[in-house]
Amino acid sequence: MRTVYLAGISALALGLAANPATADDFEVIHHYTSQTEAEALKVIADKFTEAGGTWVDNAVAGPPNTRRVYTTQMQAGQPSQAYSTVTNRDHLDFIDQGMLTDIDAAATAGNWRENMPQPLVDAISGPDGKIYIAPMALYTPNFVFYNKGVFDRLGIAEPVGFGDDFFAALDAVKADGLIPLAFSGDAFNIRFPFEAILLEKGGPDVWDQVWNQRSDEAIRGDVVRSAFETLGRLRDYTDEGNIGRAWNLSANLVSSGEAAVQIMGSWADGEYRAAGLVAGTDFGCFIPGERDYVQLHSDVMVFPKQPGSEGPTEDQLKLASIIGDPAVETLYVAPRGALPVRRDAALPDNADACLTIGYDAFNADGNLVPNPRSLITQQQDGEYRDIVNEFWANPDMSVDEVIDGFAYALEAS
Amino acid sequence: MKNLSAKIALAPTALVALVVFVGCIAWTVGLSFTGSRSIPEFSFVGFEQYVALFGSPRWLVSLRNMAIFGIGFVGGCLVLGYLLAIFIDQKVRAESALRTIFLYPYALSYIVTGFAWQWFLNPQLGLQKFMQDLGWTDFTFRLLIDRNLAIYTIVAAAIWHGAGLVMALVLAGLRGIDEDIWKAINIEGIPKWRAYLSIILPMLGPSFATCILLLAFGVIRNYDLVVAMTGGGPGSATEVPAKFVMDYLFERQNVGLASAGATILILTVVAVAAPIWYARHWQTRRAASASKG
Repeated sequence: MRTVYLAGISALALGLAANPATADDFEVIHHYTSQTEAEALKVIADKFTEAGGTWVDNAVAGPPNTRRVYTTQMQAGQPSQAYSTVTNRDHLDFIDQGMLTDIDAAATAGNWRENMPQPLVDAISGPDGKIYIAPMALYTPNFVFYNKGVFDRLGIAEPVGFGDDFFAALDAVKADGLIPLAFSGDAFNIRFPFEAILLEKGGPDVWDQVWNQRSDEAIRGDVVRSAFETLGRLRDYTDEGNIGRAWNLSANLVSSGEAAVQIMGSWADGEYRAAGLVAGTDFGCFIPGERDYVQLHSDVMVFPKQPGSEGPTEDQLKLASIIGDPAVETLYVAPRGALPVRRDAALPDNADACLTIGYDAFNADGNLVPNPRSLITQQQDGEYRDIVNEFWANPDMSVDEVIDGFAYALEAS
Repeated sequence: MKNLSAKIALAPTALVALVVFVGCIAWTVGLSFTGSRSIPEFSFVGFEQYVALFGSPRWLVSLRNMAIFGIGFVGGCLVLGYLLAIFIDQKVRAESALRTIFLYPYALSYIVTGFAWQWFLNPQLGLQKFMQDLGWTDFTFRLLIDRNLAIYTIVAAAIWHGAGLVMALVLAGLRGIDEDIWKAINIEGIPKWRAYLSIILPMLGPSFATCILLLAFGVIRNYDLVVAMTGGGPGSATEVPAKFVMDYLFERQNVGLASAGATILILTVVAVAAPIWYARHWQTRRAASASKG
């Protein structure tokens, strides 16, 4: 009996040791675990398999957990061949350490530079100007959704941005007894309303001064001050359950008609559609401001350098080319309600009114601004979210205090 | 050599303990003196990370919360656990059923405890809504979303979780008290509450020392309960040091700062454990020399 037991243990140990990959396996670590996400990724995985690759799927729920897995693997010197993340500047650190391989050959062959918007090309390039990252889908983080039934019943017209008409609309809803604003007050979601307000008020110039140059003058300037004041004003229009509420639950409040407005990235579109609502008829959406400035937010695939190879492996280039193919793009974004990253890729057939608004905004010249996460470190981003989150939760905090904290986050940390 | 085979048998365990525990602690302390960002690297920066750590408002809030949580949780568990143990010690009926009920929360993980309490306290889902639905529309119960009180709701949930353990340990101690002592107490006519407070309590010293040590570690590593109940919010009102370390290690890609935080936590563990160990060691020595003399 004991021998059998021991034999079992050693077989298990051998199995575990042998598990990490035969030479041809192509391990992809990703955080796409919801049904629509998995459906989309399957498009790419199938193409990759057709092209002769052996796709080994390693799904880890939640981007922070995914990051834990691939960072640990890279530190241990046994990286996967590809991993997914969103636009940020982690890769700059990894490029510094020589841990990533560029995929410039695939990008050049596929004419990525000519067909992708410039801020996106900047976000996926390394300091040497080579392209290291394959973008898969675009989202608009500064989006406002509203329940059209509620607006129509109360005779409210769609506001332009976060000006007086917006607050007049919220007041009208409040007077009717509904929740005017379905807000998600936590450190993860708080950035979207704040950045949407800041972008509307400041436009690309102030955006660049704050996030890229991090100039003290701009950070302590009138635009940032007014953005925080507007954010603080929103506190009066939400319900007390907002603290810590997930964004999809806030979306449900709007789609069920309990609340009227939600400020959330274009990914929330999927929640409204899943609730059986139709864009333009049952719910409306707009990009706040006179002009539709949009912030870049992209799902991307990154390629760690493999032990014993200097550049990209054949399979890595193969995957990058598939991701960058305009026809694959259209298929990939269809289930996700996202936008294709290339201007020459068509919108999928199921694109709704909201998606089209985003698509037009992305493809008009000069509308696109970079994502702050591509400009500031994770550390700065964390401190910034802490202070804005604290400001939201603490009505006693003055605008001066939050600006001091914001300046500390971007300048000192 | 005495016990040679026993020593050989224990050697692998000792080696693993040395390499894994001591080695990992040394590695963490070492990293706290480097400027590591997302990847550990050895660019020494002296005490810079510690300066940054104690300049970070969030770390200071975390330390304050750990102090509140520590005092409230350990104190609450000891008082409630002792009272429960005394209650059960009254030879009540269905003793084992009650004991199981009181100890049961301890079998749940902090994550489950946290979510259950979060639902219970959530104004839109829990007690407040229940009472309002029953007709008391003015009833409000908003501890969890009040930034000044949220940390105390975490203390309450943790006490609910841990008091049963104290009860079990103290009850074992109570059962070990000599019957003659109770007879003496009865003859002297000492009131029961006085006996439990002034006579029995000091005799349970070792049981309480064990409880305090176990609970104190719970205080320092408290992470999952906060994540499940409040995620550190509202704002940063319920941040704790262990969460600070996890966030900076993985989300914020600042291995150096996280290691500095972890090192401070290790020092806290030592600061809590050392006096207790020393006191017990000293007591044993004294007891040994007394029996000899």
